[in-house]
Amino acid sequence: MHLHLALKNLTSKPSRTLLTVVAITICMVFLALFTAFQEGLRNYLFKNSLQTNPLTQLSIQPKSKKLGLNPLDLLPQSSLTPKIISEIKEIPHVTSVEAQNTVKGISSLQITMFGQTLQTDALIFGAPYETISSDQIDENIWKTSTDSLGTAANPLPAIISTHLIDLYNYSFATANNLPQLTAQNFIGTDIDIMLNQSTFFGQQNSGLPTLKARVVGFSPKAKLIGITIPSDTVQQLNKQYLNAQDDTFVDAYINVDSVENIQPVKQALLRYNVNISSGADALDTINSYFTVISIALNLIVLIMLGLAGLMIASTFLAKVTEKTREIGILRALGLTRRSISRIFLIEAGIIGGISGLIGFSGAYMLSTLADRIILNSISFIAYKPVSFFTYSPLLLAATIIFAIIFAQIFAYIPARQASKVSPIQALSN
Amino acid sequence: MAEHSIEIKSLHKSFHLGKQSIPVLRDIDLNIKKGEFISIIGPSGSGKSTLLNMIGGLDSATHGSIHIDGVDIHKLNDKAVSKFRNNKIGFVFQDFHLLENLTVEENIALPLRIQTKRNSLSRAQKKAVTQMLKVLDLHERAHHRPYEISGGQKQRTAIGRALITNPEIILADEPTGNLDTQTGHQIISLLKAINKQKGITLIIITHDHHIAALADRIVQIQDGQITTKASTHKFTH
Repeated sequence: MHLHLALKNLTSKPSRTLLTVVAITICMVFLALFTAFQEGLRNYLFKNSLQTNPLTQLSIQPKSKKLGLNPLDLLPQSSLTPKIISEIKEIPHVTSVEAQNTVKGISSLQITMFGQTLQTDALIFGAPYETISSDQIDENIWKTSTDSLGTAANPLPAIISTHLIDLYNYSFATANNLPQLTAQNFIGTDIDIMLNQSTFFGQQNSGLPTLKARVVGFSPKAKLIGITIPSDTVQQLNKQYLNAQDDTFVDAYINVDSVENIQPVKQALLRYNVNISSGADALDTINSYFTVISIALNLIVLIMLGLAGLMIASTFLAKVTEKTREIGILRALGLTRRSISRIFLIEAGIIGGISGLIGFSGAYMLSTLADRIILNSISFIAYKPVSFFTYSPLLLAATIIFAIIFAQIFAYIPARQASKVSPIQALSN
Repeated sequence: MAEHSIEIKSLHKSFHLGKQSIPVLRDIDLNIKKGEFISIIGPSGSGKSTLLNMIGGLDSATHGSIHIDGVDIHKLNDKAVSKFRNNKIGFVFQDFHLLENLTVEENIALPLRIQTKRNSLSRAQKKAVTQMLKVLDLHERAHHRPYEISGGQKQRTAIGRALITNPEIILADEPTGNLDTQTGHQIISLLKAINKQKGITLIIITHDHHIAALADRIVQIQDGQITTKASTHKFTH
C-alpha cells in the first residue's frame, strides 16, 4: 500500500521527480567515478608495488652519508659483506637472500637506435637469477659466465627497468622525434659498456676494453639508473678490469616464510645498521598519498552531496505542503502517522535508487571516455594500466544503497513533518 | 433497551488563540443508536463539523468523552484510532476529498489497501470494488480520474470509498453542499437507502432543512451547544 501510494505520488509530478533524480544522479556519478578512480589507481599502484616489493620480502641497503654534489660520492656507514649475507641467511624464517652488487664506479653506456646514438652515464648492477626469475628470462642465459664474456660474439645478458621505456618514450624519443617503443623493440638491443668512464664527470679513456651487452628482458626490480647483469659476472668484471677486491653488495632482498614473520626478521636485521624497507612500508606510503587524494576528491563530493541534499529536503518540504490535503484524506481513511511518513521515505528511496543506478551507469560511461582520452594522450608510456578505474558489483550495490539512504536522510525531516500534519487543518484547506 | 452505538458525555472542545481559549463545543451530551439517521443543523461556526470530526476520531476532546461501541476513542493511540477510523467510520465530505492522482476505482479501493497494508488487492476485494462501482453506477467511470467526472459522480465515488470497508458509521459533512439540487437529492436518497438497507448509523451535517427532515432525529447546535434534540416529526411541526 505504501509503495503503491509512493509510486502514484512520483508519477503525478514527473518533472519534479525528474529534477530531483537529476540532482542526486550528478552526485552519484561523481561519487562512483571518484571511488572507481581511487580504487583503480590504488589497485594499479599496489599491484606494481607488490610486484617489486612482495609483502613477504624485505629490502636492505647499507647506510651511507652524502659527501658532496656527486650523488655517488658517499661515505659508507655500514656495508653488506658476503659474511653478513651468510649470517642473514641463517636468521629464522628467512627462506632466501637475493644480494645485488654493482660494477665499481660509473660506466658509460652507448646504445644505437634508429641511426641515432645515445651515450649516458649509468651504473651496472648485478642480480642473482632469483631476483629476476619472475620475469621469465631463461636461467641458462643468465648463468652463462665465461672468460670471453662481453664480446660481440658473447654479449653480457642485460635486463633493464620496465620504467626505462616510459622514460625513453617520454623524453628521448619525443625530444629527438624518434618512434615510440614497446618492450619488444628493446629486446635484442646491443649496448656498449665503457667501464670507469663518465661523460658527466669528464672521466675519459680509461683504457679498458668496451664490453658488449644485449637486452634480454625487463624487470620492475631492475634499477632505473643502469642495466642489470648477473651478479657473478659483476664480481668477475670488478676483479678482472677494475682491480677491486671489495665484494660487498649494494642491497639485498630477503625473502621471509610468512607475512607474520616479517617483524621478527626486521628486528634481527637491526644489528647490521642497514636501511630496511618492506612491501608493507611501500603500501603504507601509497596509502598515505591516497589519504590526501581521497580527502580532496571526497571533499568535492561532499559539497555536491550537501547541495543535492538541500534540494531533496526543499523538494520534499514543498511536496508535503502541496499534499497537505491528501495527507488529511489519508489520515481520515485510517492511515497512521508512521505510514504517512513511510510513504514519503519510500518515495525518497525510489528516487535515490533510480539515481544511484543511473549515476553508476553514467560514471561507467564517463570513465570509459576518460580512459580513452587519457590512454591516448599517454600512449608513449609502455607500462600503463588497462583502465584507471575499477568497477565492481560491490561498487554498484554500494552506490545504489548509499543513494537510497542519502535521499531518505534528507527526506526524513519533511516526512516527519508530513506525519505531524493535523487531519482537521489539512481537510479544511 | 436500545443499543447506543455512540455515547457522547460532557464533551467540551476549545481552541487556543495565543493565551485566549475559544470554546467551540460546550457540554455536549448525545446518544446515538445503532442504525439511526441523525441530521445536525446549525449556523456556520456553531461547531457542527468539529463535533463530526471528533466522533470520527480526527480531533480530540478538551474534556468529556466519546464512546463508540463502548470504547472511549479519545483514549486510543494513533495506531488504534487510525484502525478504528478505517474499520468503523466512513467519511463523506462536502468537497469530496478524492485523491486526484488515483482513478475512481483506486479511490474506492484505497481504504481496503490501508486495511490490509498491501499494494495489491485480493480477488475478493477486487470483486467488492467492482460490485461497489456497479451499485453506484460508476463502472463506466472506473478508470477515470476525479477531474474527469461530474460532481455527482465524485460524491458517489466518495460514498463508495466510505462504504467499501463496511463501516458501522457514516459521517457526512454537508455532502450535498457542492451539488445541484437534483444531484443532492440523489445523493441523500442513496445515503438514506444505505442507512436503511445496511443498518449503518448515518450522521449528516446539513444546512438544508428538507434534507434534515429526512433523518430520524435532528440535532441543532448553536454556539457550541445542543439546543434541540428532537425527532424529525417534532422538529418539523
